Amino acid sequence: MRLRTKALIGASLVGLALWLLSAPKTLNRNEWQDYAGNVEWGEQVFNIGGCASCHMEKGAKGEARLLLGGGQAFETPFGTFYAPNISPSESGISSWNALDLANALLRGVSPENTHYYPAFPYGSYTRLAEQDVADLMLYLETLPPVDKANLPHNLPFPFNIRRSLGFWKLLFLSDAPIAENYEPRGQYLVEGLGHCAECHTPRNALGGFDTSRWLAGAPNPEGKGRIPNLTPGGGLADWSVEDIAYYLESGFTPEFDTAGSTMVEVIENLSQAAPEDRMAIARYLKGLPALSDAPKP
Amino acid sequence: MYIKKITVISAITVAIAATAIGGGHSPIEQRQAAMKAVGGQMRTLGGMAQGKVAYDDFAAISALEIMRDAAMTARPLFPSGTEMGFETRAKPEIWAEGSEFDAIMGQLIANLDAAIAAEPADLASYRPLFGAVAGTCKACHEKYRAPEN
Repeated sequence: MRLRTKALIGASLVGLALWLLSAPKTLNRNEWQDYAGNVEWGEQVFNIGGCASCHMEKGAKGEARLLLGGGQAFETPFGTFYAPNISPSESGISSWNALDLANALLRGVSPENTHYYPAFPYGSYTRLAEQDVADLMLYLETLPPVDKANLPHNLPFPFNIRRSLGFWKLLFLSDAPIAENYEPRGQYLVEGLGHCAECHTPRNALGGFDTSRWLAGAPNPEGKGRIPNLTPGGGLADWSVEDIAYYLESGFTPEFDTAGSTMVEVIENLSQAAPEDRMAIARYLKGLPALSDAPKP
Repeated sequence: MYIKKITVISAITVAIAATAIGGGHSPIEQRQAAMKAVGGQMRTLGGMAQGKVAYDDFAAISALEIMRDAAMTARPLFPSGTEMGFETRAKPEIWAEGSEFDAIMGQLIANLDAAIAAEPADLASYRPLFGAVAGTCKACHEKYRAPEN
């Protein structure tokens, strides 16, 4: 065989391997059970998961928080993302079933079998229980449909190549628990559903979590200031479990200062969660290894 | 009892007024001192609302009165020309046309007046009154206070 032919075959094989490696990996349809969903639990999942914060209109209050037509812009170092419509309308997710939702949340894959960008925090949601997904699907179906077309993301090359997210997933997508912790419910809520690490853990150059600094605070992607350290080595050192739970319910620190910026939205959601869940989150955080704040840049 | 209460409160009010003035001549420093005074009282009031500290109507009403005085002090301390300096976190929206800032400050004072006038005798009647006051703190901070740097 001529050298050129060999090189051509070699290159095609590498190309094929890369293509296969980057393929979207969905859940096994045959292993998916038909879970009987519970709409009230679904509402809890929705609130703790904070779906409304990103998918409603920016700054919406009251009932308008349940209009999930999308459109909010998120400026990141990788480009601008626009939240999609997740209301039960044709522009939204009216054609989805619970398995579609599970593939989106647990695998970051759309019903069209393409990768979602991890601005949608499936890097955390991948830890969700399938039952919670089924409950959430039932609840989402009860919300008002919003007829609003999705905006395409505005991303420069190479981030506009969706297929390349397959490699990002190979590197970073894992549903394994992160911290050694004796509070399983709190761990599920913080590392999974509540996706606290998405803001409170710093990221490496490729946008994966720096797990050696798990929940130890991070630069604010929206500009000024830092997102606080949640480990007992930072500003929460003197907070009791009850203090943390009360903060998550009311937005008041033990000094009776009020929560700021994006956390206001998070508290709006968590104030509707069950009191035991707020306590579980607080116990998990108190059980984390104490890491000191990163030095100021 | 009532005379003692008045004495205590006027002593504290004088102390706060002194703090506000002692905090410096700039309205920014003065309003920052008034906010600190409010924060201190909120710890007492919030501790009782949370059930961390036993409810004491005398202590609660006294703290509410101090807060009201501090809020009244703070309200005129946002004149135009005090948008910058002293690491102020007051957002420029306060001075923008159609700002609701003054309305929320007025609401805070009204909620404090209502809580004081109700003289809540027990925790159950105190809690919603405290909640209304705390809600105005949050509403204003959410809208008109910039994040910490």
